[in-house]
Amino acid sequence: MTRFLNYGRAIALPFIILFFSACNSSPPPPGIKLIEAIDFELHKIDAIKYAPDEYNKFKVNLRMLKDKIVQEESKLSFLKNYESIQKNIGAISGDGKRLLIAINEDKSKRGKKISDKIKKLEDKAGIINKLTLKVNVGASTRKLLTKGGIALSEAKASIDIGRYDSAMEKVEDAAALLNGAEKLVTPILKRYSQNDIINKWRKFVRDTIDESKRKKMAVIVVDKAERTLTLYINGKILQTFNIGFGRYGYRDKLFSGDDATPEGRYKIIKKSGRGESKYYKALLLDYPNQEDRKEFLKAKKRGLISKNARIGGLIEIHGGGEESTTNGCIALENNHMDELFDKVAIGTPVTIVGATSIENELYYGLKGLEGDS
Amino acid sequence: MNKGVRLFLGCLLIAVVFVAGCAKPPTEDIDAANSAVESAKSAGAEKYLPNNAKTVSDDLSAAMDEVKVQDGKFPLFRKYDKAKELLASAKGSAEKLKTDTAAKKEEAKKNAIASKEEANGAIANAKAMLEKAPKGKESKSDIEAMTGDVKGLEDSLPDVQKSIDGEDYDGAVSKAKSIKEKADAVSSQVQQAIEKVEAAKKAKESKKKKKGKK
Repeated sequence: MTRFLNYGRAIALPFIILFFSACNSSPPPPGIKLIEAIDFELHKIDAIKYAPDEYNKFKVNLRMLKDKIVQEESKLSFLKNYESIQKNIGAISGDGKRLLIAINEDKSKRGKKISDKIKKLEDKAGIINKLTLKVNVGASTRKLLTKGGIALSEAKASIDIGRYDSAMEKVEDAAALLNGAEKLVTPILKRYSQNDIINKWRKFVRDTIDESKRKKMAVIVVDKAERTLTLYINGKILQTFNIGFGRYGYRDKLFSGDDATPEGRYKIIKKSGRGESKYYKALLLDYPNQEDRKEFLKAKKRGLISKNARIGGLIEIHGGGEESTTNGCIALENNHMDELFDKVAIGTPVTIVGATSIENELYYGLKGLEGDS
Repeated sequence: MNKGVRLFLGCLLIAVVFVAGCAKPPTEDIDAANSAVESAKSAGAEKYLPNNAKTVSDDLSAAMDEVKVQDGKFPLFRKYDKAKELLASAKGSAEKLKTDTAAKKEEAKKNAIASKEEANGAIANAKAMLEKAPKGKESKSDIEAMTGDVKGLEDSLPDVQKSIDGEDYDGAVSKAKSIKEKADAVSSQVQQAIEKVEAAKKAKESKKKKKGKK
């Protein structure tokens, strides 16, 4: 009987141990919550985009760790051992924290790099904007400039919400659009940065001033880059006035209707006083001269202008205001026209040049663009 | 019946209860939770509510881990109650996520459409202002430049619609806002030019009046 009782106890004991072991499950190590929090932060900062290999490695390690925890959790409580898991938790959370720091640093660097690019492109857009207003290159350039500006605004908005890939795409779009605008502006302005052309213009001016000195007479020098008209008497500057000129005034006039202001050495051939000119008072120039005719025929022969194009004429210095945009004439404020009108005569030389110095505003504009590209 | 036999029978009864109560994995709950999470993802949860989507996905993963814990136990001791609870919670969260995603998407769409309309209005306003702009020799080139700017803005407007059609609502809003900002700048420039011309006119008139008095 006693033996039978002992058998019963022997059989019951494992059941009782198993029962209590199964019921009494020890909790997983608390460090796992920390790693999960790190994983969530990594997810929030788009780790998969910025460090895909490292993040995937972190995820695999986390999964393996969780699998180990699952294994331990499945065991009877007296067999559970979280020691190696605890070590892994330390290592994986360390990796995760380092990855967080690295990605944040990388994003910050990326953001700064893109912001720098945006700043450069904004500067470039600013220069092109000024140049387009100066040279009136037409709507297509302004369209490109505007679209470039939109792309830059979008890039900035993308940076603000941490979408650096999208910001970079927009920066590239903006760069392409602004390069397109630049290509349309620069050919018109290139002449203002070419030494041989500047030297030719300087010689025109020197010869004109010499003539003024030699013949003790008044001469006029118009500098398109500076937008000034200077009156010399006996080789010395008497007065300088600000001017307005052709809508496409920075170009050299080639044919009728191109709205450009001619460059060369001319003379006043007619003076129109008050009531005789639509623009207050006017001084008519002998444009086109021999050189202009030659250039016109050359351009026609080369097919640079239409076969039906005619050479222009009626280029005047007139009143109407220095902010005027003309069809090629040179416009002064009416009171300045009064001052000039009385000091010049029919036959007074008028020399019109693009610039008298390589250090002109247009040259610097171009230089600014070269620096940006 | 003696004491030993009773004890033996008691243990046997416990064993029978365990075997009889041996829990089965909650496959239906698993399928339902998985399906709810996938459905939320398909609705665009990862795009519109990425953090909530991650939480739901982690909840499901935790529930599945609990299932695995129980699967790994001696059959007699498997208990899926907690797993079922976690799966039900994940399913509920996923269903809510799906609803929230749809609402968020709709809100983003509405925002994008409103931004597009605002940009459109700003362009129309800029064009109307350009019509009113003082037309003199001095302003001709500026007006031409601004007309070019407005054309550039008009050209960009279809891109906003493209973004809306492609469900890139944030992109659409960003572009539309930029267009509006630039169109408003044109209107403001024209307004300044009008004011400048009007001020010059007034100055001229008062000069004339003064001359007349003399």
